[in-house]
Amino acid sequence: MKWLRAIAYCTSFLLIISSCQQETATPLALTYPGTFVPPLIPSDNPLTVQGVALGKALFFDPILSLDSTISCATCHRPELAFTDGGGVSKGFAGRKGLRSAPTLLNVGFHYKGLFWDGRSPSLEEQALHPISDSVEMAGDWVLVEQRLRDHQQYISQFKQAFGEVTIDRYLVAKALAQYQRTLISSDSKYDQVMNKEAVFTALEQRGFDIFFDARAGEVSMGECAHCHTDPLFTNLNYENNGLQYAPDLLSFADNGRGNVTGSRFDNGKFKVPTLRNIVLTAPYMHDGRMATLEEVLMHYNDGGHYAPNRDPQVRPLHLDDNDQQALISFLHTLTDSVALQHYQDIRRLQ
Amino acid sequence: MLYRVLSFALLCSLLLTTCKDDPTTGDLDVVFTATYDDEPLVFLAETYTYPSGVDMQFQLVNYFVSNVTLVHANSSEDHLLSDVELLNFDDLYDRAAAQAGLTRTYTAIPPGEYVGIRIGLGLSPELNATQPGDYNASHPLAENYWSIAKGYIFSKVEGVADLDGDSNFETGLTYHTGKSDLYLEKTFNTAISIKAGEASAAQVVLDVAKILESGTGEFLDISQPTNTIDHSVKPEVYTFLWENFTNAFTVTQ
Repeated sequence: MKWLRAIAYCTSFLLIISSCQQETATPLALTYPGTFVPPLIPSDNPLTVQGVALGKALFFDPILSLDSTISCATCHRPELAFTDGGGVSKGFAGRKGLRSAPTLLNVGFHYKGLFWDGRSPSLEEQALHPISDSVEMAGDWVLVEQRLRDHQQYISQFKQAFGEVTIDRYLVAKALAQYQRTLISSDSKYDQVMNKEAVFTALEQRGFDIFFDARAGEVSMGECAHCHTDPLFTNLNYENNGLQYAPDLLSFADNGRGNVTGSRFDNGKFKVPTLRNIVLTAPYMHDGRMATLEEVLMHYNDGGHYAPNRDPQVRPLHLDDNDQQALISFLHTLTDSVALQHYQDIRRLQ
Repeated sequence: MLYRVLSFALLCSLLLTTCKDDPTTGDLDVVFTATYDDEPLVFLAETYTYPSGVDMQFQLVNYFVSNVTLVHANSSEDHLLSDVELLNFDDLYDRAAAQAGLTRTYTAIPPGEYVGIRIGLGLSPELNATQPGDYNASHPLAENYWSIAKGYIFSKVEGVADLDGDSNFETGLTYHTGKSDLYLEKTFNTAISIKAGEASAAQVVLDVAKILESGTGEFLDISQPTNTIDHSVKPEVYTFLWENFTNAFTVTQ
């Protein structure tokens, strides 16, 4: 056994030496609140300064689409908290997709699946989908890879980020994933109040109390936080929120999660979206069918529509107009300062 | 090429050193299941009868246990199996899945004749004072936190009831309990034999019917909307449910 140990030690030493020689990228540490469950960062795609910069460049570059007209940022616009302000998103040549573009803020902390139906387990896997989807970016990965291999700037950036490698779709996805992990939203008025750096107005406080059932018996209970759980304001689970009347589990227009699990009991369930920056991300629901927060509140206040697997927490809330306004006032406090700055910057330019 | 040869040698050496079985300890597979009376608890696909006679279906049952310990006749030989588990029954849509339940495998247990399992129902005050940001995503305590209470939800029972008998389960029932002073350690006396190099088994069964109806036949009147929901706000409700919960377990080998 001693000779085996000797080989193991020598090999480890040589591997360490050789890996040091290839390392060119600068590690990047994320800064996020201590209340956030740490992000899952795969060991084969650690964050680096160069990787994030490459990912950002790719994110905003339409080179990834068939005719170089659509980038990731087309549907994930920074000034709209990385959504697109539309209902069902439109992609290549104006083709309509099935669902709306969710925000990417804090997406690096989503560890229970990506997309509205959770079909993708990781950012690295997720990034492969839109680029080759015929409705979204309609790209051909073979062509995209060749374009990038022929692009001097990208040749240099990929080398800086990943070393001497052949540019391929998986490295593109890794770079995009690294960039998206840096999209952190945690500096809203709500966060400042929780950190005792600010104070809610009376109306915002009442909305907070309703949202979190904080003063049951004194103030109405909104039941919101059971699904829209802080600090991400989503529990990351898949729920049926009573959006569509369904007499049985096979009657949904969009099966959502059920298409992924193959279980009819998951039909009509969608990922609980975050409410951070919600005032910037209208319209609402997985297909953008609700234009305003008032409409959303009316839906929940009425108890939603019947379906056999409607979440038991979706029930008539009996909130009066004042309470609904208080809730909306509270929701405004979830707008991150950086996200708002992007929004205001773009509006100023228009 | 040299690196490949040496890497292969490293891999072989690691495999040789790790493949060696430890014959001095044993394993224990604990299967956690949920029932309704004597029937496996199946979500949505099956209907059960609430104590008042109303039909109901379940959508979620989960609970924390902590300080799960194998009890020895000589208490100095008690063996801690787990600091904390979250048993999350949420997608058991058929009988086979319900009967299979959730298995936790505990390894490296000193062999011996144990006399029971001690289970902390809920979270110890020390654990309940932590928060999800203290853990990684796969840890049980990354879930079920209630920030307003600055603590965790110890148990959830969620379902839907058909109050008007029209075969539509329109009334949501959501019962969440969790406060530090509810934490209770309970010892279940059952002989568990651990043998070196072998895996033993035990079963922990939660009878959800016993949560909803006490041993003296009391239950919540769910025709009253205020009784269809409690999130540890009404002491008379959550203490009733929690006390029933602590009496709803059986442990066997």
